[in-house]
Amino acid sequence: MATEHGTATAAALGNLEQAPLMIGKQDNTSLTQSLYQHVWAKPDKGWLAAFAIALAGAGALLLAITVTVARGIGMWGNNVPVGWAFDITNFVWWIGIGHAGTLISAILFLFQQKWRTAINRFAEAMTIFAVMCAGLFPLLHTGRPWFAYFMFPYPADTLMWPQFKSPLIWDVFAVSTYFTVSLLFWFLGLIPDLAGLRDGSKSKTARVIYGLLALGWRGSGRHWHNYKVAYLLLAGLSTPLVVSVHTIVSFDFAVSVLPGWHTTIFPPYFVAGAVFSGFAMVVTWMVPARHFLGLKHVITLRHLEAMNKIILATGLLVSYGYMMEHFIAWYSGNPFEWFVFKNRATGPYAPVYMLMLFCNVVTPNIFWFKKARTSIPIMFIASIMVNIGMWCERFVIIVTSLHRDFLPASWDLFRPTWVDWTLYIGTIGLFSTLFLLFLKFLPAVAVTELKEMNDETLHEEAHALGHDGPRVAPLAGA
Amino acid sequence: MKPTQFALPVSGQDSGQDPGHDGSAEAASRRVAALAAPAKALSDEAAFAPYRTEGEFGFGKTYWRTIEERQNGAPIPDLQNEFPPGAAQPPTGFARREFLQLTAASLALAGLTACSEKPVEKVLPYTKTPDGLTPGNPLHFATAYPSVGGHALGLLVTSWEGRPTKIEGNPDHPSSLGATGLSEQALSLQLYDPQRARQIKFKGAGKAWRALRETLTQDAAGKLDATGGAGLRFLVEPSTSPLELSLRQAVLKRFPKAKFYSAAALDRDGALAGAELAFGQAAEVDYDLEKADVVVSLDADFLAAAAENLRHTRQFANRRDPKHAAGMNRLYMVEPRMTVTGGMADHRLRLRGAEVESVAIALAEKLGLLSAGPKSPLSGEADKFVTAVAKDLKSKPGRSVVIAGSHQSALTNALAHVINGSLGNLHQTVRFFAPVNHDNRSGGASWKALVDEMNAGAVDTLIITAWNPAYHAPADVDFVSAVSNVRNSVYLGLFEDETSIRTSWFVPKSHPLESWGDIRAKDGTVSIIQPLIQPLFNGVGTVDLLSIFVLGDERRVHEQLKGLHAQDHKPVGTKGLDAKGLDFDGTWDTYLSAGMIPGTASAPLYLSLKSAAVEQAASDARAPDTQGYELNFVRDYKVADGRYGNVTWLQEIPDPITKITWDNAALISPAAAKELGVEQNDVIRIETGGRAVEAPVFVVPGYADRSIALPLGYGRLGAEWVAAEVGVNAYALRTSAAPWYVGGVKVTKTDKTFRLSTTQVHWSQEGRQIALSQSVEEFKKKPEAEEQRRPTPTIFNMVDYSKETYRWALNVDLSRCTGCSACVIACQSENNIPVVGKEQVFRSREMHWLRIDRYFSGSDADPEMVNQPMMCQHCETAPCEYVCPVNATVHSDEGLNDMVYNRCIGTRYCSNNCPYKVRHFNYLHWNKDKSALERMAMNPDVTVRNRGVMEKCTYCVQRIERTRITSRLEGRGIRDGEIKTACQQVCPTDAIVFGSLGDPESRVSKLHNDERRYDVLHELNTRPRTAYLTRIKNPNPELA
Repeated sequence: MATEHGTATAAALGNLEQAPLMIGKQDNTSLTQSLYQHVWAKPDKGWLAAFAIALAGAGALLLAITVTVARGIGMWGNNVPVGWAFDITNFVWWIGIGHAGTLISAILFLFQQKWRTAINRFAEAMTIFAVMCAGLFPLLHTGRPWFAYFMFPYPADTLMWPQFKSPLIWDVFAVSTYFTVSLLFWFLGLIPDLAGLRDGSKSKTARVIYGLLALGWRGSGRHWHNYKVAYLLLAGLSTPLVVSVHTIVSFDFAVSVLPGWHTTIFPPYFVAGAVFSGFAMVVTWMVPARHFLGLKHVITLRHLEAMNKIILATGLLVSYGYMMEHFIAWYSGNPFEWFVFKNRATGPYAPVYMLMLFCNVVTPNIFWFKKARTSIPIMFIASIMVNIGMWCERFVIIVTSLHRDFLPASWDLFRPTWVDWTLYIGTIGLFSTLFLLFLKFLPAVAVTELKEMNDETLHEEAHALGHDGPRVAPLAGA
Repeated sequence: MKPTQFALPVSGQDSGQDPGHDGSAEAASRRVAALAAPAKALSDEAAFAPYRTEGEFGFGKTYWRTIEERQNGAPIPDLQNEFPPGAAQPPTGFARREFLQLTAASLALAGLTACSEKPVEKVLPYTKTPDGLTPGNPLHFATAYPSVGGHALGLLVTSWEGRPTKIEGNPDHPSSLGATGLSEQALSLQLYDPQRARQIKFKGAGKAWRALRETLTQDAAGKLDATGGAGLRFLVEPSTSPLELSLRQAVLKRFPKAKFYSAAALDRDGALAGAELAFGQAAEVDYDLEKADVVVSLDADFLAAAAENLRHTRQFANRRDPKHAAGMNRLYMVEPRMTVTGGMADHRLRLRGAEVESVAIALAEKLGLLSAGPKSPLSGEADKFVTAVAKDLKSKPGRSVVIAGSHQSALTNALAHVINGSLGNLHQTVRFFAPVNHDNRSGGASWKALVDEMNAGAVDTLIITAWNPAYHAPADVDFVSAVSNVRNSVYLGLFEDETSIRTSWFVPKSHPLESWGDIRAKDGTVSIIQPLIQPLFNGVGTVDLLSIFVLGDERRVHEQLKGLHAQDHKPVGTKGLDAKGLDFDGTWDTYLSAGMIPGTASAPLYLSLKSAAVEQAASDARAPDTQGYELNFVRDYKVADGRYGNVTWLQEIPDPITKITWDNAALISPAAAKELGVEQNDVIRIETGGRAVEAPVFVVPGYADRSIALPLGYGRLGAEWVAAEVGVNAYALRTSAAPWYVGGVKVTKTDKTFRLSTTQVHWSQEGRQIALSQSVEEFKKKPEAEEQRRPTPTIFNMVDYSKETYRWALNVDLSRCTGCSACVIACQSENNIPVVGKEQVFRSREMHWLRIDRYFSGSDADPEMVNQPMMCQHCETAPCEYVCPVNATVHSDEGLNDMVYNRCIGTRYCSNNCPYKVRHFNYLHWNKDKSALERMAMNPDVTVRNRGVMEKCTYCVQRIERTRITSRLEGRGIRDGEIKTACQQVCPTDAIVFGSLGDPESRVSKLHNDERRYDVLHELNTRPRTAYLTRIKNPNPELA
């Protein structure tokens, strides 16, 4: 992080200089100790309490799933005209949340954004768990989930094949590909750290388990070479997926004839929304995690601020999407289309719509201010609001478009049941359970990558001091 | 569909036999199972569980659950199904234990629930095949049923191996013309109602038929014979049956002092008294509406709730076609509430029920028939209306008709006759017949007379064959306590109900589809009612009960009937053969086959008007009661007087006007709601004559202000689980003096609310061109239809269907459709469509493949109503098809949008993408807990759908395929009109036409090329095969 402008004064540069990515003078030992600490330490009461709550949520999910499968979708509030409601809302919401992981791991990696290193593991884990939660819904929402395998092109003796014109089939491929690649990417990145855990763990069981998972990693030059190539390849492979998954999810709506769904702006607008909500979710979890896991020295305010900037940028994209959607609805002169947008603002679901506008359009603008970007309480609340807003957005798109469509005679309301709420809250429980387990058993940050970055930084510092003299303050520990 | 040549159904002559009651419900249950057995495809053992007691279906000993059960036969209700089929309770609920089980076992269950039950099927062969029966091919038998008003409606019943399922109208019958109403469609479900009474009871204990017969025979031979039957009274339904008449005469011959009272909730005393006032003699009025250019209805709902409504509807609808040779007719309606007929009117005048008489007087005065107008002059609006009507009537002498409601006053009815007479309409649009009903009065007066006798202790033996008098007796006539004064009372009923628990004897009645009988149409035509199945629960008929009181006639009903109608046989020559060379047995079979006895129609009466008497009555008429609110008691479109309350199909069908299901409500106008400060679903208290009921409010446009309509037939308390506690009992306020409308009613708002389930929550078309309705003039100037049918430009590569021989299509004429909803039930019956219950209707999950969308336009006070039957449009570019991920909905070459149920995984994407929202999803397993008996009502040609699959209208593909098979066997093509969809077949207005567009001469092709044709949501380029014809109205320019 040496300056290119050798003539500028140190004081002036100090203001422009970004905050360091790692606080304090770190070396490999200190990093090993501080970053593996939360895995090796006994679970504290806080973790146990959080885990108990999360597990209760996951249990509720199991109950709601059982009820749904035992009795049928009729246990939910869905009806005709509102064939999809909480189910697909939750699906899209969770898939969206899963977008931060891939974006951070793949795109920011390719752009060589160093600040990603401290948060990518965390975000990728969220991606995987979010996609797992999301994946539940397409399965559960079918009337006969035991026949859901009809969606796969398998050699059936009936000679039947899926109907490839349907966006739902595209979904099947998009989401399963996304999940597979994300999982591989995450696991690949974990291998050196798993080896570190294997080597450093005290209990035999842990050494055996981590040893098996580490796939025989010895840290040889050849290992590192292959690892780097594979990582880069997977990053390249994931990059289009960041865009494709939510594009295809948006096709579920855009391809239909329904006013409010039949919109060409959906693909970019959905992707922006997905990144928006994904980053918000990362912030929501990162804020407590860095505090409780003692990771403040590697996940700094600078990291959080960078994420808040992305939230602001994508939030503005989403706002632009809303604006264009409304404008086109009016400009098209299509009375059905225009009605849908008027109905969103004035119909029975208007409060949800207003909440959506407030959370998604107003809230992110607070991040224009550096004070807000670097304030832990503000960003925590704002990130939760963004996630509420994005859930409302999906609800508004799905339910308000369906509940009053073409023929006024078929209009009706959707009223969620306890099973709807339990399923939704239950997936948050499942997500939290998985995430807490992750935080307990795997390093929350990419330890080897951080060490590498630390080494590089120290190396660069040495160069800086050697060539240009001590005009610039040392980066770390300033 | 023509009746089969094999006129005798499988049950043959047996139903007249002494029904072998053995004092146990078990025997009846076994018979159910045994009857079901030859119909094979009996499902799993579990289905018999409710019937499994002892004997061949049981295992080991049977222990009693309660002493009551042992003695009474029927299990006590608490032990039975907690959530009876179709009841208003939510099927989504969990019992506490079940919930805990699920909670505990959820982990295990989550993995295991993927196994679906497969029913165990048994196929049993016939040991002896009945004549003319090919298993798998249905037969059709002609019979008849008392329609609205008690007159015959000819029916054709489809029967599968002795199992009647679908009811159609007999096209040859003058009252049906192939159509039926709602209640007839639901007969098959009523027949297989598992809650039907199964056992004769004496004071609650099971008894045998022989015991009852011996008791009554002994009474008859002893005390009754000694007094000439002084204490013998009969309470009967108004009947037109010649056999019943001959038996009544025989009873009266033996017991001259005995009396027959007729009591009906829906009496027609006003119409009968009106004819007597106008002509000095009893007469039934009938109309030929096809000849009428102007129709004026004085509170007569003649298209839906009056005698001969089906034929009148057909005639009326024919004249709603602007292309009719005689032009369009014009309907003026005066009524207190919005009715099906009112919805068809070109002009409506909203007035309280009591004020309709004033309109009749004013109209007669304006026509110069009365010297004075009404006591209290009409309002300006009403006066303008009446003046225009009078002018219009005058201009159409002999081609107009005034129809008065049978519940209106005798004077109103008489004035209608006088006006018709003065306009020269008699014997043109109006005809009179001698009444074929034996009971000319069945309203308040007969109730009073009977109950007075009972209270005076003059009644020793009371035989009740009328439906449930304890429920619908007028509130001021305490029938219930009067029954306790009768030593021996016998009640014959289909169900154990409010009456059965109060009489000493209860006898299960045989269903009209189980019994022999005869019945006459309004014009006198005699039809034979023939049984389609043996009485399922050993029920007996009215005739069986009456026969006990006739000495020396040991014949079975069938023999009595045949004996009676032998007189219609006209032998020529000496061999006893008639002109066709048939002996009486042969002739009898032709009666059964045709459903009618030819030559039994009577000639119209030529009557002379007693104008002076009518004028006198008019000058004696009192000014109408305009105090407070007026309460109107109205016949319910669904359950009639309440007798169909246990039929789930009818409970769930939305009311044609309000779209309420599973309830009645106090129907009021928006202005009244404002005045009372109430909204939809608020509960109001209605008080009159010291009696009060609380009812939920439902606000409907088009009602007279300060007038409330409360449909009869709800708030039942009987053993019928479906009907029990559904809605509010309007009979509690109805008195013998004011059976139809009562003024001065006090209405107060309560702080309660009640949730009504309606199928349509939004009533406006929002300015969208969906159900097009234009006046003749507007249509001539700028037909909206034209813009809604031009080919839409597309870049899409369209499939070319033009080479197909058959291109199925359906046409719906909105001008004709009255919204009566018979098609909805016909579709339900034909296609095994499940009932979902009130809670699920509230959640908007009703399954009706065909629904009727009803839109209001114009002002709240005087709205225009348009009905639009909406079912799958079979789009050529169907939006549902391309979004289905598993190819479960695909297009056939002939243009059908097919549903492949076993391929469907239930993503509901198709429904979301259907712009017409005509797809229905099995959100729960609606067909799960059906007993073997209930399953007998199912159409075997149509798959019964499982939970989790989508379903929708198929254009009755099973009918198409059956006809295709027939045509192939005969080596020919399918003829136009040969296939009728269920909705088309039942439609009294002929509004629905199905056929192939491949034949340019077919009816549907011609209608699709009509200038009124348009496609709903045409701009979406869905290219629907179902097209609509614009509704055309014919308003009077003077009132516009």
